[in-house]
Amino acid sequence: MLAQLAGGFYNAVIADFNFLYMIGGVILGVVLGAIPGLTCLTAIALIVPLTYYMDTITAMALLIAIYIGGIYGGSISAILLGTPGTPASAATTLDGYQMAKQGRGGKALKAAVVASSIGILFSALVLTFLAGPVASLALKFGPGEYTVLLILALSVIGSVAGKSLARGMLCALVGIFFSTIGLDPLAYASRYSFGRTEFLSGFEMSVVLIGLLAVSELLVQIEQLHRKNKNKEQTVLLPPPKTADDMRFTLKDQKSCAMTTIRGSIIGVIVGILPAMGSAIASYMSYDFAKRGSKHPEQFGKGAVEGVVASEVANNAVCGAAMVPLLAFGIPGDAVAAVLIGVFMIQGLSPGPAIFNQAPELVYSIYASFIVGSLLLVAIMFILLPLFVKVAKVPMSIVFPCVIVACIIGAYAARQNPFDILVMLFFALIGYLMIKFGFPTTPMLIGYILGPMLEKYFRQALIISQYDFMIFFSTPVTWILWALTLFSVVSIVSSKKKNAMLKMSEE
Amino acid sequence: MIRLSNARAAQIVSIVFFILSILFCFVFTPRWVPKEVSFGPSPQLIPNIVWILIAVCCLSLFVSSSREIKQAKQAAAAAVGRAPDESLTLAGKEKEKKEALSETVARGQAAVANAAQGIAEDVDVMEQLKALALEEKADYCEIDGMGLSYVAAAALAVVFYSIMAPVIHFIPTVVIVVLGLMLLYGQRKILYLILIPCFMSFGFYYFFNSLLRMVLP
Repeated sequence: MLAQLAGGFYNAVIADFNFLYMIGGVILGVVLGAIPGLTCLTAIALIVPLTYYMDTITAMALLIAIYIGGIYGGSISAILLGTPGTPASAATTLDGYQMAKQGRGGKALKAAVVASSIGILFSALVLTFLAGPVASLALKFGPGEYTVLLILALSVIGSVAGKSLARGMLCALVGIFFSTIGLDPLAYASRYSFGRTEFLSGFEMSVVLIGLLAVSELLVQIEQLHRKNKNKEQTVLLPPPKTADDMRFTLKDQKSCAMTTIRGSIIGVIVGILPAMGSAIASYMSYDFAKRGSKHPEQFGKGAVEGVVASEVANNAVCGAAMVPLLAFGIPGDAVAAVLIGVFMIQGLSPGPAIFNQAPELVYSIYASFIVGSLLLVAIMFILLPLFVKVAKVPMSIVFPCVIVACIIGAYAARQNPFDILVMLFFALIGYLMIKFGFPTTPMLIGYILGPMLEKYFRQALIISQYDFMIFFSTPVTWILWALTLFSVVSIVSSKKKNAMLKMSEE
Repeated sequence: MIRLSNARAAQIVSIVFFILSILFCFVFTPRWVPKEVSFGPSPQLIPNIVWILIAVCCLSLFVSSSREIKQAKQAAAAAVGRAPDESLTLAGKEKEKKEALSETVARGQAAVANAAQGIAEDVDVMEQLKALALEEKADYCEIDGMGLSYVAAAALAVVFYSIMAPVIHFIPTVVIVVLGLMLLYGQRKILYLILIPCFMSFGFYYFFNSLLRMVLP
C-alpha cells in the first residue's frame, strides 16, 4: 500500500506539472471561497468544463485543491467581514469576527489555516485506510443491490437537503427526469428529443452544474447586492493588532486547542461519511462540543480562538471523509462529491468500487492530493494571506459580472456549442426560482448525476432476472439496504414532524 | 416585484408539476419515447416511474402547503384578536391581510436583524440557530426581476449570436465579453437597446421556428 501511495504522490504532484495545478487550484478556491456569496462549488463548477482537456489525475488534483481552498476561503470573509463566505464557515463567524473586532483578526485567520489543514489531513488519512476495505465489500454487489443502494442515497439526500421531505424528493425526481433526456443508456433509444438533434446527447453535466449551482446563486446574490446598495449598509472598520501575539497563532494557543482539534476532526469525519449531512452541520456540532468541553465556555462568542478552531477543523475534515462513500460505493457524501462523480463520468470512468481495479493509480492520487493540498494550503496562506484579505473586500459589483462571464465561457467551452449556453441559462433560471421558492438545488443535481446510474442498474437487474422485480429483494444485502431506506425516510419524517410540533408549541 | 409566501409558492409549484406529470405520462412520453426496443425493458419505464413519483410528491406537497397556509391564516386571525371563521367586511379583510403581512415582514426583518446581531454580538449557538429558524419561518419569496434581467440579457445575446453566426462568423467570446463588460458597468439599458432590436428582427423567427419544430411531429 505504501508503494502505491508513493506512486499516488508522484502522479498527483510531480508528473505533468500537477503541483502547479494544485497551487493554482488552492489559490482559486481561496479567492472564490473568500468572496461572500460564492462557494467552492461555484469555483468547481467553473473549472469542470476545463477538465475535459485534462488527464484524469490532473483534473482530480486540481478539483480537490479547489475544494480544499474553497472551504478554507469561506473563513476569511467570516472572520474579516462577519459574513461567512460559505455556509460551512457560518460557525467561524461567531468567534472569528469578534476576534477581528478586537484586533486579533490575524490570529484568527492563522488559527483557521492550521485547523483547516489538520482537519483535511486527518480526513485524508481516514479516507486512505477506510475507502479500500469498504470498497472490497461493495464489490460483491450486483445490479440489484446497486439499484437499492442508489435509492437509499437518493432518499437520504433528497429528504435531508430540503425543508420538507416532499420538496427534497420532488427536486431529486425532477433531476432524474432531466437525466432521461437524450439517448437511453442501454438501448440508445431517443427520448424527449422533440425532433431536435441538440437534445439527443442530453444536457451536458458541467453545463447543468454551472447553471444550477453557480449562475442561479449569482443571480440571487446580485439581487441581494442591489437591495444592499439601496439600503447603503455601513461597513465596520477593524482595529489594528495591539500586540505581536494578536497576529500569531502561538504554541500556547495550539496547546489550548489540542483537544478541540482532535474532537472536531472526529466529528467532521463522521459527519462527512454520512451522506448529505454537510460541512455546516459538522462545524456547528464541533463548535457546540468545544464549548461544552471548554474550561472557559463563557468566552465562546466573544472571540475565543477555540471557537474558530472547532468550526474550521470540523468543516475541513468533512472534505476527505465525503470521498469515502464516493470511492467505495459511487454515491456522493456531499454536493462537491456529487460533482466529482460527474467528473469521473466525463473522464469515462464509473465511480464506485470498480475504480480500485480500473484505475488504482487514480485512487491513490486522490489520497495524495488531499494530503498535499492540506500542506499547500498552510504554505500558500502563510505567504499570501495579506493578498487574500484584500480579495474579500473587492466590490461585488465587479466580481459577480466577471464570474457570470466566466460561467458563460465555461458552458461554451464544454462542447463549443452556443446551445449549451442556453441550456445553462435555462438551468440557471430553474435554480434561481428554486432558491426563491425555498426548494434545494443540490438534490436536483444529485438526481441528475445519479439518475443514469440508477436507470442502468435497474434495467440491468431486470434483464438478469428476466423482468422479475423480486431481484430487488433477493439477497440479505438488499433487505438491509431497504431497511436502511425505510429507516432513513421514517426518521426524517418523524424528526420533521417533531420540529413542527416544537414550533407550534413555541407559538 | 413578485412577492408571495413560501407555502403559496410550494402550492403553485405542486400544481404546475402535477399537471406536467399528467402531460408527460399520457402525452409526451408515449409520443417522444419509443415503447419497445430490441432488448431489455422499455425506455419509457423509468420516465413513467419518475413522473408517477413526481405526481405523488406534488400531492403531498400540496396538502402540506395548504395546511401551512391554513395555519398561517389562523395565526394571523388570532393575532388581530378574532376567530378565523368570523365574518369580515371586504375592508376588514384587506386591513387584516395588511396587518398580517406587515407583522410577518416585521418578524422576518427582526429575525434577520437578530441573526446579524447574533454574529456581531455574543449570542451562543442555540440562540443563533433559533434566529435562523425564525427567519426561515417568516420566509417570503421575493423576485424583483434584477436577476431575471441578467438571464434574459444573456439569453438574448446567445440567440443573437446563433442567428448571426452563419453570416458574420462572430466568435461567441466577443458577444460574451461585450455582454460581460456591459454588465460590469451596470449598463443594462444600453444592453437592451442593442439586443432588443436584434431580437425583434431575428429572434422571433428563430424562436417560433424552433417552437414549431418541437411541437409538430
